[in-house]
Amino acid sequence: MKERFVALGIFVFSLIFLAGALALKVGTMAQPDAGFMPAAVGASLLVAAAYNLVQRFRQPVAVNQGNAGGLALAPSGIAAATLVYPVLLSFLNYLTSTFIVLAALLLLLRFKSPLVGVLTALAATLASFFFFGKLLNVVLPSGALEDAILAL
Amino acid sequence: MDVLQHLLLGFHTALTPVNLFYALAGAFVGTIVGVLPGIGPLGSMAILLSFTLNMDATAAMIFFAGIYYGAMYGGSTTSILLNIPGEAASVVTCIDGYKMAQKGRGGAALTIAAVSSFVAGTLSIIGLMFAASALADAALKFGPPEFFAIGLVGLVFLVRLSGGSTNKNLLMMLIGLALGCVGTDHLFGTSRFTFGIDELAQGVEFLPVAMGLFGIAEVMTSARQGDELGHVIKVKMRDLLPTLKELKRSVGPALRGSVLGFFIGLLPGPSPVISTFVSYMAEKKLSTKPEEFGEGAIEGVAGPEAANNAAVGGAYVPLMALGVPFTPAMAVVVGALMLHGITPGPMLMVERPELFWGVIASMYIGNFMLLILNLPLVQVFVQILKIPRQLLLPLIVLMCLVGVYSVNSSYIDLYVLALLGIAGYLLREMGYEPAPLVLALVIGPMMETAMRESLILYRGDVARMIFRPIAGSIYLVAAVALLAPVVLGLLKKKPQPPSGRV
Repeated sequence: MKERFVALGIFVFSLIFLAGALALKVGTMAQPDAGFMPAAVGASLLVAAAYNLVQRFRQPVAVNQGNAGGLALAPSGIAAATLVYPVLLSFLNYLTSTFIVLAALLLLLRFKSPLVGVLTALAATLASFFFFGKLLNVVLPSGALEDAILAL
Repeated sequence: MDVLQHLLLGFHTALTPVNLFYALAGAFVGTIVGVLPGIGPLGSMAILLSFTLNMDATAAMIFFAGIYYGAMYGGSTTSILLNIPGEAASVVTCIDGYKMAQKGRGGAALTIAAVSSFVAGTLSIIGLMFAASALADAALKFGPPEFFAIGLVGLVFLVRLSGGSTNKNLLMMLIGLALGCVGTDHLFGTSRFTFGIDELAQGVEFLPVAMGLFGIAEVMTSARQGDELGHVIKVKMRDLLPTLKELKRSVGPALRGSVLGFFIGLLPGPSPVISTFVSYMAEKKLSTKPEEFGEGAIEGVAGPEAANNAAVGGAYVPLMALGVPFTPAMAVVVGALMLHGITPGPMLMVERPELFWGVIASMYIGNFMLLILNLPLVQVFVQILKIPRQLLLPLIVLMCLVGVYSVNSSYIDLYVLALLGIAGYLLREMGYEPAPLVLALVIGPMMETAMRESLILYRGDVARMIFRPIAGSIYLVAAVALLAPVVLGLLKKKPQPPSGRV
């Protein structure tokens, strides 16, 4: 079922891409414009995606064999954490957002006890802040907390 | 003589303390990456791409070369001692390497693997020196039709050789080309698929795509797997010496593996992996004792280990000479060069000889370091497997997130990373290979510019674009290479009995 869902997703992407490509100026063979390559790629993609979709729907639906026990939710959790991180980063700055995401991941993956997980997240967050911010001079989103720690 | 002078310049660059440090660091990181199952050389190079921003371009290249070679070395350690291939190119080594270890010859297998890798690495670097120089000289005569031909042929080969379904590979390649179209058009300055987001004007950045598909997706896949560690076979220092008979039996396979690996490395696709299978099959066919294969034949370790290392040198040839990456790992190397404002290609040797020859010289040094590093520290590297996955995976996610953000301080890059990570995980689960997507994303913009310039130059006459001496030859060689196995297969097919079923 998941395979059909992925094939359908690729097909929808190819449709949207081709529509966007055709909205650009395509030009001619002698004077190809900005939409020339996207239109060629989009058309090829649509054909390949349609063929793939038909193949997937003609195949019998694979029976789900079950997941790896309690870790079955881990991929979804990691996906959610990476998606939420930029939102948190824009509101809470580096230290708080990184700590929240890291602690959540460690708890999700059941690293030792919850207390050890939280403490590890705290240590890793601070270490990464010094490593990236101080050693590598990366400009990380900063607020009062980051400034106070840097001033120490 | 010219090559020797350039090589001396290379050693002058590579032997500076900073570059020596990065060669060692790369070899060390690469060995660890090779030992750890899951995060292969590609994923680690993608994850560490942002770190190279703080390095000089030459140091960054030296660092990556060390990782790539180191991963090939490290992969053999867990294959032999644990029957766990650290990365795909070490799968074949498990077959006979682990059997040898079970019979108490693990130390000898490790030494033969390391020495074969060293010999192959050194031979392939010599090949790279001469082949890349010659190819780069020829490439100076290339125009847009030739570069388009190389890009197109490279992608076609990649789709055919990447393993799995050809249609799925084709889809991935086309999606990569589609993503490569995002951003401002190079020739007319028109905005394409930017949806009013200024950060997309420069196109979809390579780094978040590579880190998403190979870093985050890999973490998500690993998170589902268990955390069991097999039984590690202990090896003492005195067990590391192979017998004279084992050494003699390894010379031929190591040399043959080196040659096979180098030439397979020139092809687009996962060449280190393919080269190990080809070498193993070749050695089994050539052996007077084929029945020993699968039961602990030393040839089954020496040949494939030489082949995967030689393939690394081969893979550098099209990148250094033409600026076209034929493997995903080389695409990451292009990404690193681009981050430093350097466009790889035939002019690289002319404009930045210290970089080109410095990398080559560092490969010699790196290979030597790996030989010294790997054998005495073999048990230390195996201990790395004891780091709990539950700690390692969140730290890799953190490195990916901060690494991507650190390049452009862009939130859009973080969203691209997350989305491509999720997409990469789902696609991998369904058997879609992400490598063609990444390569097409890198090659696509170059191909588009070359194609449109060619069409404008020849006023839309496609025949004139194709039937040029060099471009035509490239298409012809590719057509022969792609069609020959099909034709040979058809010719070999024996007529089936009317009612017979195979």
